[in-house]
Amino acid sequence: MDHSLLDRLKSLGVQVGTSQVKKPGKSSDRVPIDKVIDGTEHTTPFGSAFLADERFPTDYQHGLIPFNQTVDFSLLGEWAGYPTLNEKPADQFIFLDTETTGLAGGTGTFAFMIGLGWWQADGFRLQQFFLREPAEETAVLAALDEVLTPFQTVVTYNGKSFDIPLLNARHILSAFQSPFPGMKHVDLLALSRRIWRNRLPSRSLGSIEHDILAVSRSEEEIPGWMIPEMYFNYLKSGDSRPMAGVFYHNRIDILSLAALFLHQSNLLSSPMDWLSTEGLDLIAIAKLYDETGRRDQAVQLYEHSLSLGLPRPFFIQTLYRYADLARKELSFNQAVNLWQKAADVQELPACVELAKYYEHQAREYETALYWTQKAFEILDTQAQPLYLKKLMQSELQKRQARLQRKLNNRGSYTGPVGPEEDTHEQS
Amino acid sequence: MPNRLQALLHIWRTDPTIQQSISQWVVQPAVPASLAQIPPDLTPALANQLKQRGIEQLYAHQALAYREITEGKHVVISTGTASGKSLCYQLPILNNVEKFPDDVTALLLFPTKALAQDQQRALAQLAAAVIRSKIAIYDGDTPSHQRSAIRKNARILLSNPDMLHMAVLPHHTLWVDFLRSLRFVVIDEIHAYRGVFGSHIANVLRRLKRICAFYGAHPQFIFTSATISNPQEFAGQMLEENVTVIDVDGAPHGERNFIIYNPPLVNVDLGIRRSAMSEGMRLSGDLLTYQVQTLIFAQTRRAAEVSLRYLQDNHPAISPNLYAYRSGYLPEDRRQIENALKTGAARAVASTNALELGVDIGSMDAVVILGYPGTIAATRQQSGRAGRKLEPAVGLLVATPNPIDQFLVNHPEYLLERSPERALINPDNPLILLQHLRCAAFELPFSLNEGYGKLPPEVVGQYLDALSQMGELHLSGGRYFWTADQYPAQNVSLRTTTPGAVRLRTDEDGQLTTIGMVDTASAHWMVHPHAIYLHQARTYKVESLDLEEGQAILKAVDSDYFTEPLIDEQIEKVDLYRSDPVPAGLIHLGEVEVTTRVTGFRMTRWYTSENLGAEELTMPSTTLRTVGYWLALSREAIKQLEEVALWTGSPNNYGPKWDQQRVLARQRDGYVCQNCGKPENGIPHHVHHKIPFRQFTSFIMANQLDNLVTLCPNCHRQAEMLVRMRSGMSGLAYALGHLAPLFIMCDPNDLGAHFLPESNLAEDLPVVILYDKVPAGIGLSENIYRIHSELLKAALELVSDCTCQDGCPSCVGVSGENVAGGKQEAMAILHLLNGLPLPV
Repeated sequence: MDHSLLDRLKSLGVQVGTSQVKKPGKSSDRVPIDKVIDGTEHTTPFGSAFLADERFPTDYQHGLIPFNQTVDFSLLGEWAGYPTLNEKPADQFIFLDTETTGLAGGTGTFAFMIGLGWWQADGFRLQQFFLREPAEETAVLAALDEVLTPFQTVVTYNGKSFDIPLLNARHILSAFQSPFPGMKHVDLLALSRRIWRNRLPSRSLGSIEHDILAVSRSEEEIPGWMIPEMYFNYLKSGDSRPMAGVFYHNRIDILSLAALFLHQSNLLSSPMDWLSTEGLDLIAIAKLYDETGRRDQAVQLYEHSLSLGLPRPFFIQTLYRYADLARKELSFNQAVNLWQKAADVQELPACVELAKYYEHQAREYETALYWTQKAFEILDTQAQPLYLKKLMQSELQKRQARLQRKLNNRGSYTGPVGPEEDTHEQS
Repeated sequence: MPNRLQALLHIWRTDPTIQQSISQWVVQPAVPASLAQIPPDLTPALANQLKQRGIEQLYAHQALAYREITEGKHVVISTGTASGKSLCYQLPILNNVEKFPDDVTALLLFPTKALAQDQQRALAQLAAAVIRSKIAIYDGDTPSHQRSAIRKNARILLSNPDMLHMAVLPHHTLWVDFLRSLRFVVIDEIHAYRGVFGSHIANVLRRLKRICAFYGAHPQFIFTSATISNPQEFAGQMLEENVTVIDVDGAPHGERNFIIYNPPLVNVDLGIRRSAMSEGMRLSGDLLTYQVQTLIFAQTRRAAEVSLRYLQDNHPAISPNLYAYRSGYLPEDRRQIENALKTGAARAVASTNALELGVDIGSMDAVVILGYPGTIAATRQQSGRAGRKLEPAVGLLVATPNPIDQFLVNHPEYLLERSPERALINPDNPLILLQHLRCAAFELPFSLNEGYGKLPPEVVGQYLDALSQMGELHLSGGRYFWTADQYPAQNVSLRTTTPGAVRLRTDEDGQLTTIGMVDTASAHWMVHPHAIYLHQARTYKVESLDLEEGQAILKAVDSDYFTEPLIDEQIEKVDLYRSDPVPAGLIHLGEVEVTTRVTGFRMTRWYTSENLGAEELTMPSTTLRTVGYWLALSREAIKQLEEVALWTGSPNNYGPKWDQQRVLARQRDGYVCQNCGKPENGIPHHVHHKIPFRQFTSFIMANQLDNLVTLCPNCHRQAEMLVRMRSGMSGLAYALGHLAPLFIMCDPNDLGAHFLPESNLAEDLPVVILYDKVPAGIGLSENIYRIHSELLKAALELVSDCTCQDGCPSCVGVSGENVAGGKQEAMAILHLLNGLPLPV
């Protein structure tokens, strides 16, 4: 009967690839997880689950990052919205990462593995709970809640939009109360994006771990996108050997998460101490300083990063940002300097900024005309969609006409004049 | 404006050029309101709001609805357009939410976003201040940063079924508080949810009830509907529970004129009438001249655009105050047009049925409907747009030559009194069911022995096991877990069985702008390469269509022609479900496979309708497995027809000298096909009668050499097809295909209709087939099978009533060049199929 329904659905156009239809594995293929991973049966009032438990010594070092350092969490805490975070010792943090049946989200996705890590007196502790069968989820959630109890802050990578909402949903579906709404949560992804957006091809934990922490994974590693499919295959075949790679992947994720937490805290509290730090990272941190009102530190970092030398787009970007900061602080001269540096390398917006400055601030209309003319020239050489070009041209023409009019009105007098009527222009 | 309208109506009534073409003019006198007391148990705030808005009493149906809803019943409210249906649910919902703000939530679903916005305004005006901030819209336009606050705070949520399906149910854990307290669910305008769409909606409701039950909530459902014949049955089918109907309309209205206008015949023999478009535009022009605000309903998006062009050309002075309105426009443009209607700035709007659903545009003085809009409910709803509370109004249906229009011209009682329409859905269509079972399993694992809607666990179990075999579910601990890295709701479009959409983009100076969307299925014929596409009366030519990318690139052109696709279809039998003898034949119900391909398109000049030729296209073909109803004529009936020379479907006896003439013709033509030039290859070519043999009274005349031509078998079949197309059976297919939608309440485009001369569907007998244009069918063919005799009776009336000589677009279809029409044949066949003796 099942067979005929499947055939009927096929005939109606339902895509049922023959490779997709899997027969249950032969009993000889079934390899239980405890034959593959060193772990124990963990018992809870809601059934039992599989647990892999591991300890790392106090002097453990993950890539470049030694685990036994004292760090200043203050700016990281402020960034995460918890100004008092630094008052807590490091062992108040628990690191969490899940492996799930998909990335789509929604109530049909569940975590089949939950990895947890924390510092305790004798070093770093790492626990991984695994669902041998989906029905063991209630037991794993109960175990998770138990482990979380003593901790106040959970640290994740992209947990704000993924792991934590997912675990909240799983709690509701099991009619449990989720512990996360009562905890602080630091998500390191947003900060990684800020610092490494321009320098690294990807801000995934794997890529940052490789490029920043200098961790390299062994050949046991399997890429994250393969994980859901591997778990589905395990469920169908009962062969848990390929799951070893998933355990390894999750284990390194947790270690890297802890290492990154230490590194980012240090980077924010004293960026200049890190001699290896790239100019690109510094300008990102400078911007962060700028936004959190630490303007002096920002100026210092901008100057330093410009002196280190930057790739052209970031050199330009930094000039603009720095100029913007300078203008806000009302040191227009410094801003003009920076714009001129940009104009020297054929930057059209810088020419426009200069034209604006000379028109509205300095009121040197001839100089303003010069920069407008220069903007025209740059525009001519640029490859851009026609409609954008047309738009820009018409704006420049308006400016040119207005400047010409002002010059004519003024006659030969080129010195400063009184207030003008047309200061409505938006900068 | 009433004086002006009355003056114009007087002219119409007396002007012979118009009056002659008016086949029906019904005046419904003004009706006073039937009133009832405001319920005593309203919160003071709500009672006060009513008082402030000048509402001292309720209409009878509003009071009744309040009572039934308060008693906890599921209800369906089916009263006229603008009868205050919304207040029927607004009062009990607001009253409950205001009394128990922590324990009661309500979910209101509207078929369109625009309706939700109207309702939010209306509810906010009526609600107590504390509740006002808790009335929120949650749809695709809701900014993502507002969504979590809405989930937390909303007590009354306005949304649409698509959003419930796509965003709410698959994330129901984010809605725990809202769903736990869910007390009322309103489904507005359910008559919009027929066929495929309705079958999807019924499944979304099954899923909603399932999730609510998980949170311990058992909400009460309130439906509203336009006037259809079976609101109670329909709502009951949708909900799978008993629903109480409220259909006594207590609202007052001014004098209403309803006119059916049948454009005059310009050729009586051929049954050609002046076009509904040009006549409709003439009448609309009169209304514009008399400054009567007019809403024009066109049947297609193109017709709406064409109407706008006509009006703009003929009324240049008010051209900026004329608009078109249809789906595919951007939301902000639509809002602007709606407002222009409300404020009166729009003098006329030519719309598709996009405006038919209760979008708040106020009431018009006049509505002109260009051609029967496909259902009686829609006709009533569209004409109901005309009519302010006290002033006179006119609704005008301009009939097209379509058989259904002409049938209604002669049977206005269907429109005015008894509607035969039964809205239908089939929530258990296997494809639709499978898609929603996927979604439901994703939302919450199914347990062994769990049912779904009214489906028993055994049936559900079969589907779940099939999904397990496909690897999408995994049975563990007695529950089926979702084990696919997919978000199934994303792959389910409620509007079609085939998901996907094509963006229409224009390329101007390197800037790509999206001007609209069409669904993938329609894209094949609407925006195939080189098609002319109309948008706000502007013409675009399709440069390219990329179905995989879901994008068509259009270029604005000044085109003086439009295009129509040429479509090729093949039908094969897959399975026979049942068959029954009927007079003169056998009817069948079964599964068929239809293969369709757009092979090219025709170009026609605007206004003059001059044929500018055709172009071929290479488009992929699409295959449809579906359910069909087919009617095979018995050999006895064929014999009977042949005896009176009214059968043209079988080989003729060509007379004694035929063999000799045939040799002569082939000799003359050099044994070469005169159409494609192919020479004979051992087997003699066919010899074809240019003027069909059966039209001659003597063998000698028919078989004269200059009436004969040599054709290869392939070309001959094509030539014969032309003749067969005109036969009685093809006329029958034409009539049935056009008439059936009147009874089964579907769009004519939901149904395919063909004549197959020697069909393998029924032992090589001649067959007329009607089939559902939806994979696995949606129940249309089953229903046609059921109403076969009623349909055949109506078809006979249609053809008998038609005044044409030998077939016209209004009965059995046009007759082609050089070939007789099939009207006499069709009449004869219809007599036999109705169990009547052949007409003398």
